Amino acid sequence: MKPVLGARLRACVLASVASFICTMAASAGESPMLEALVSSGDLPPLAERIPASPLVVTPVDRVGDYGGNWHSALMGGSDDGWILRTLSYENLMRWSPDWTEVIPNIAESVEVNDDATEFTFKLREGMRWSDGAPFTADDIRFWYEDLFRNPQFTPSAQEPFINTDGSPVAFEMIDEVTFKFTFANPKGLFLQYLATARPLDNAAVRYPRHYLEQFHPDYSDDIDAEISAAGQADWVGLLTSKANFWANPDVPTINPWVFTTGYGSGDASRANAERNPYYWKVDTEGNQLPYIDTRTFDILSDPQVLVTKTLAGEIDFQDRSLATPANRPVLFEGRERGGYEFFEQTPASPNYMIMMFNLNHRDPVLEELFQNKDFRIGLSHGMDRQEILDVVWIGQGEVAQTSVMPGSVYYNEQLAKQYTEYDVDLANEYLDKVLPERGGDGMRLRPDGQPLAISFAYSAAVPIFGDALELVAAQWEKIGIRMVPTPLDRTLIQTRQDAGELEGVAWERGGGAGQEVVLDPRWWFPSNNDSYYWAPAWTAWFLDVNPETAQVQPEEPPEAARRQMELYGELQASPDPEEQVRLMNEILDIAAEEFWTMGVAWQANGYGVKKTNFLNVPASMPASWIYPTPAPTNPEQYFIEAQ
Amino acid sequence: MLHYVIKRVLYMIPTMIAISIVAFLLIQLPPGDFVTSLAAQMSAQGDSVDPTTLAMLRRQYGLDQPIWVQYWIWISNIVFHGDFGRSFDFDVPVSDLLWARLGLTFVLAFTALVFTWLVALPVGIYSAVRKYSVGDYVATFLSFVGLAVPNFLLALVLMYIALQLFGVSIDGLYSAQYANAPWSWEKFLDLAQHLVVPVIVLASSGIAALVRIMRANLLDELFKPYVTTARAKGLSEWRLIAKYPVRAALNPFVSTIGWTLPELVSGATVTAIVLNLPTTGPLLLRALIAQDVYLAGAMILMLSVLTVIGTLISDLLLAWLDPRIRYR
Repeated sequence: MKPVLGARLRACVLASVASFICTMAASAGESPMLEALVSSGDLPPLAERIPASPLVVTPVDRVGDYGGNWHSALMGGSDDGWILRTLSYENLMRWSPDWTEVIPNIAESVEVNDDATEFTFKLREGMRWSDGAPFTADDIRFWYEDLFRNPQFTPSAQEPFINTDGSPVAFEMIDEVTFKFTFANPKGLFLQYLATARPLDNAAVRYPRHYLEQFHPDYSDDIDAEISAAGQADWVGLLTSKANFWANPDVPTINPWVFTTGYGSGDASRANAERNPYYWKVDTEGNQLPYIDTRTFDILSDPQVLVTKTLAGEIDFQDRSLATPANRPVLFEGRERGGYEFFEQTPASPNYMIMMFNLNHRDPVLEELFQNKDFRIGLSHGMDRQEILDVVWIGQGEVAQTSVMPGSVYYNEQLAKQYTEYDVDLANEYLDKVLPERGGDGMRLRPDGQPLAISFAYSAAVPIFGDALELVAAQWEKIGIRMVPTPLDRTLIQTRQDAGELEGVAWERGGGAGQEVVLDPRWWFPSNNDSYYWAPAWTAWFLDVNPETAQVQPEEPPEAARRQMELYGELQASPDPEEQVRLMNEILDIAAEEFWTMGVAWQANGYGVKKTNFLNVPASMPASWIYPTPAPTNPEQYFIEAQ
Repeated sequence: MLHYVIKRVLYMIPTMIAISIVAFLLIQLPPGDFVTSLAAQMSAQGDSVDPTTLAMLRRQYGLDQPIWVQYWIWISNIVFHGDFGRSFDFDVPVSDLLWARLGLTFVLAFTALVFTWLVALPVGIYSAVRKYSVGDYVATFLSFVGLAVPNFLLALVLMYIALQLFGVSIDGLYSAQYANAPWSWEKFLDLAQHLVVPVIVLASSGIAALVRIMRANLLDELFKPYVTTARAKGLSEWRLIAKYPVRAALNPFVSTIGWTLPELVSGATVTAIVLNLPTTGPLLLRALIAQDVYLAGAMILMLSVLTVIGTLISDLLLAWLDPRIRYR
């Protein structure tokens, strides 16, 4: 059903100055589902439900039709990443669909002072929570004063709301729609952080004061009964679970859809959501978004069921848990029958397979060996990457190390291409410097004379790594290195990773394109949780983890890594985007020099699945967690074409 | 007899305590804990989570405590408050999750059981009475096939056929529009339609096994003197068979009723996963993989209770049938 441009439009043409605003208000359409509620008096008219200046979303192809149900699926009980990516990407700021800039979202505007220490946000006047209560700066103040600064709720303040010394940012509520964050030092990446999907980054706008005060000890005297009724240990658990919008349908949100059947309720086989009547975004003709009325999430225990459902045409739009390289042929073949098609996803991962050695291994002999750059160079020259690419990834991609993809301002030729040529003699030359001794079988011995056999772990859930590693093992055998590909349960890898017990490990994802290079620098220096794969002790040092509770003890990293960490601190504090790029490139230069990890080849494009009548989806989008695919492409303007 | 029953019930208490400890330890035995598996799952999807959040979760779930402390918190809440705790994975009380799924699990398992008996007993009787007839050969052939084909494979084949022929995915127990609707006649019919395939799949191997057992049992009885006597007295052939040898052949079934209790809850997990049935089996598997300790613990505890009760029931039935057992 097309939104009807009513007679009100004609009455509006008079005032030429106000004509733009007038057109917006007059032509404003809404879902027939809500029209019925408005005419029965159960819901105020549209103009009273949306802000004076709603966010205008430009549809990808055209203004959509109202109605329909978007059917997709979740795996198990903790798969809320898919909800974050398609239903709740409502932060103060957001990424532009092409991932080139940060634009205001909940904030109508933001002002930053010259040295990037003061960030003044202006909210949208008249914006409301999904229950109709006003959304104001007071809600942000509730989060700041009563949750963020409460030592029980937030034992230690985290990025992005901290100064360089770790102390919390200062907050000031100026009026109902204006508030200000003031940092003690420049905070150049603050707005970018506010645009990611990470829960900490959007915490400020997740807590409706009028609903949650009843679960906070400062406002409610008698919450013990509530705590025990909810089976929680303390008020923190109570408030956290009450504020969880996908589990508790009662909590008001600002998302395009609100849950009617919570994730995990009932027999936990399905969750449902329906449109938020107070959603604060409109399309270019002033029609209230979202176009799609309802959402259904099947909760499955096996990804293969999802494949069957997709083949049967039951899934409207999905990539998560479905669009794997292994499923590609069967899904491709079933397109016509299932009535769906593919859309393109450009990789943000810096390689098909990143091969890492644990530079902080417990065994001092192995630690010294793995830290020796000549050892890694030798192994890199001993790999026939083209053969691996041709055999395992059917030639789709381009031989490269773990590196930023071409086309980025952060592209680094040395990082991408060094040591990639297959040269057995050169490999032996490097290895002879490190491991000159060989055993009776011609295989190299450890410096202490023991036989060397490197166990290379990979997730059993990604068998393609096994195929690739078997080829690498055969190639390395020719240069006297014994390597044993070891499939492990993903959880076991995580455990050994946390404990710093891995020898070699293969993994991919993250940090290879767009702003991920800066915001998720896991491969470029020991920087975040995912750097534990290759440098657990150095990462722990950088993250300043508590040695008493940590499984791996922090260790001061070498000069080069410390320099990178320093540069990253400067980058985070720099207000100037050009300076940020320069600093990041300096970090990448050091990464190239140090050659922390090695790769096989850059990935070819991935895919996602959507029904052929599911429209306004861009033909191509980046696949990333920082970008939270597909959220920045505005799922609220996706629509299902009326048949 | 009463003395015997009381003694058996008292034996159940230490058994249950031992089971609860072993179950809790076994669940915790794999490397890592729920938070590790959560981090692994997120990482596999390309999401990332920072160590501080993980540490906070660990504290919130009490996973940073020694295992005996965790066990005591868990078991004391169950014993003193009847509280099975919260599922980490779904963030809802374990009991809500279990009760919501138990009903359908029982309906499904019970329907499958009844279907099994309705089909297997007549076929078994027929193939014993008409031994080496064409019908017996057909029944024997089909039951060996039924025994040999795993349930989940049959489910996959049926799903494939449905997808290829009708273009539908025959998973779940309700159509989308009835999933969260209140109970109505239409919803009941919808459920009944969706039950057909799972019941056939679940019953297939049971039918096959029962047909063979019934045939063998009945063949033992058919040539005993009391059958000849009855026949000599002029009873009609079918009435004779149904009244005497079939009843005797049914004894082994009766004494195994107890074992079917836990089977009702845990049976056919793989089939349920393949067919995406909202039963307890997939929930248990998922809980074990995700190390969702309280959920998995509650389910294993429940299975154990059912097994113990089931064994008690079959012991009592046997004792009632055979007086010699009572005095041991």
